[in-house]
Amino acid sequence: MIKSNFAMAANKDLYDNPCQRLPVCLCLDISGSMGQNTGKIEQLNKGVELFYKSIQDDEITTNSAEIAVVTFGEYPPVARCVRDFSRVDIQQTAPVLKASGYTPLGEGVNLALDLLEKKKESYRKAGISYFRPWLIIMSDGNPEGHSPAELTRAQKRVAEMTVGKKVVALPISIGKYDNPELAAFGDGALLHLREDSFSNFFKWLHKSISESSSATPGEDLDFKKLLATAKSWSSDF
Amino acid sequence: MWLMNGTAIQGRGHRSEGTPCQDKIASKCNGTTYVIALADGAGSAALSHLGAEKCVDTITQYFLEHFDKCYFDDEDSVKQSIYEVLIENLKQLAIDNNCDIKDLASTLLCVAVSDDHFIAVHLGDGIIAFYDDDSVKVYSSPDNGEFANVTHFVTSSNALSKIRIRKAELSEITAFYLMSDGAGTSLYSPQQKAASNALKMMSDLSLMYSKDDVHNEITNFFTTSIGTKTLDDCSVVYMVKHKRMIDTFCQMSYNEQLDLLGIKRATSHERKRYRRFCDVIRFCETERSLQAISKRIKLKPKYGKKYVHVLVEMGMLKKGKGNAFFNASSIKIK
Repeated sequence: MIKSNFAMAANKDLYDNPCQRLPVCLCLDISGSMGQNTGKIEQLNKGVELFYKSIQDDEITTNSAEIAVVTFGEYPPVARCVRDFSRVDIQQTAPVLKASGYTPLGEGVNLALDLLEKKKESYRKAGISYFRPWLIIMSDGNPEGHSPAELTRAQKRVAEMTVGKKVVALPISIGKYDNPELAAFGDGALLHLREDSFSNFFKWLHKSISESSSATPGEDLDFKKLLATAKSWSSDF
Repeated sequence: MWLMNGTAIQGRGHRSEGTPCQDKIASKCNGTTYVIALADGAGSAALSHLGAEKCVDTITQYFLEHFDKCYFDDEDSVKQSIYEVLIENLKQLAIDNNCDIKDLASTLLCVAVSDDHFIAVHLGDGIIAFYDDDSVKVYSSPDNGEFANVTHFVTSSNALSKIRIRKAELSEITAFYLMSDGAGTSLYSPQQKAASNALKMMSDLSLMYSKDDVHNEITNFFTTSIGTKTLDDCSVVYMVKHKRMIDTFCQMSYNEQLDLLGIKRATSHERKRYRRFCDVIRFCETERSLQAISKRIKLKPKYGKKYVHVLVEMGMLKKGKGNAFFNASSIKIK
């Protein structure tokens, strides 16, 4: 029997390291076609709110996931950082988005990637380890009112990062629309979100990032397995 | 002489999933060579707990048999021979379990000591630290690449090129510590590239208590403290250079000495007991009879005997000729 205050003394000398982080960027189309009495922008808002709430109800993911929201749309067309990367308990509420204007997809994705690079740099400087970031790009139509050069640059950046396993990029087409420019962000794999399934998509997204944020070394993302679980919200084109 | 001890506990994540602890530790010695090893099985590999166990068993045995050769051979050929023996054993294990060798993936950390020299081997994440009579220092940091859940395993195609191996003289080093990334959550600072002094406190226990008691104490500490800060399995294995008990006691602080003697600090009666113990130790720098010891601390022999008995039980006094006792310390008590 050990008669010492070892545990009490040792506890004082432990490090309180920040937990490993998972950056997740939602890059969302808020162009006019998301409004116009289609109800899509309302569903998107409800979905994002549900996503925030489900993360807040999950202690592990709350502590590791840092969420950013980038929008592209408006008139004149612009990409905006609505929320920079931070934990949802710090953000407290989900953003409320309004639909209008054009669809500057490339500008939106480039802004999302710039924010992501900046965040990774801040992790490196602080010595915080992090998981492979997620980039979710959602749009209901082809790019419009954009710079073609920006779109090409964004597609090239995402393609390079995807090949190098530097990002998990998920392009999601809202509804059954052919969208080759959006598909180019996903190594050809474009998922189609059923217009009545925003909630299911965000529930699925929460579950997926929850698994990613508790992965241990050697547990890399199985992309095929991930896509196979997307049936609750996706439809075949 | 080196004392070795350690623990490996199942992480909260694995406990809820019913997955076995994938961290494995081993320690072996043959009287001249002492080896400790730790392997962290890959989360994605179905039988990584078996692979990790095979790796620590294989490498500890290998260094027991081949320390001198490994120390004097060039690093590349040592890496090659270690890699070959590990892969050969894992291939056989894969056949025995009818699985792919990738299902047995694990990291590997190992330190072997013989005479005044040591060899350290590190593949993947986890941390190797040491104590050099000054503080605990990090010897080898985790190799994770950019992302937290990416590392290198014995079964990785690039494993041979990712093995880090270092050989050197012990110099002032008196302890080595291996820990998994789960334990590193609390015992290692990636920002400062520093290791916690709690490791030193852990290995100090080995200088004072039995191996089983120390194992129970650190397992309990890992279960109630370290393991609560992460979902991952947590493990540590260490070796510490053994000094005589009396030398260790003499180097302790006043409070540590009180703790060791089981003396509460508050009362004057207890402080008197402490002074008597110290007096006996000091007095016994040369061999003394029980009667002389009792007289020295102003007690009848039947009470003096109790003090002597405690110190003998703790290994701080030795029995000499007849009814005489002595301490064999080379250090004067304060």
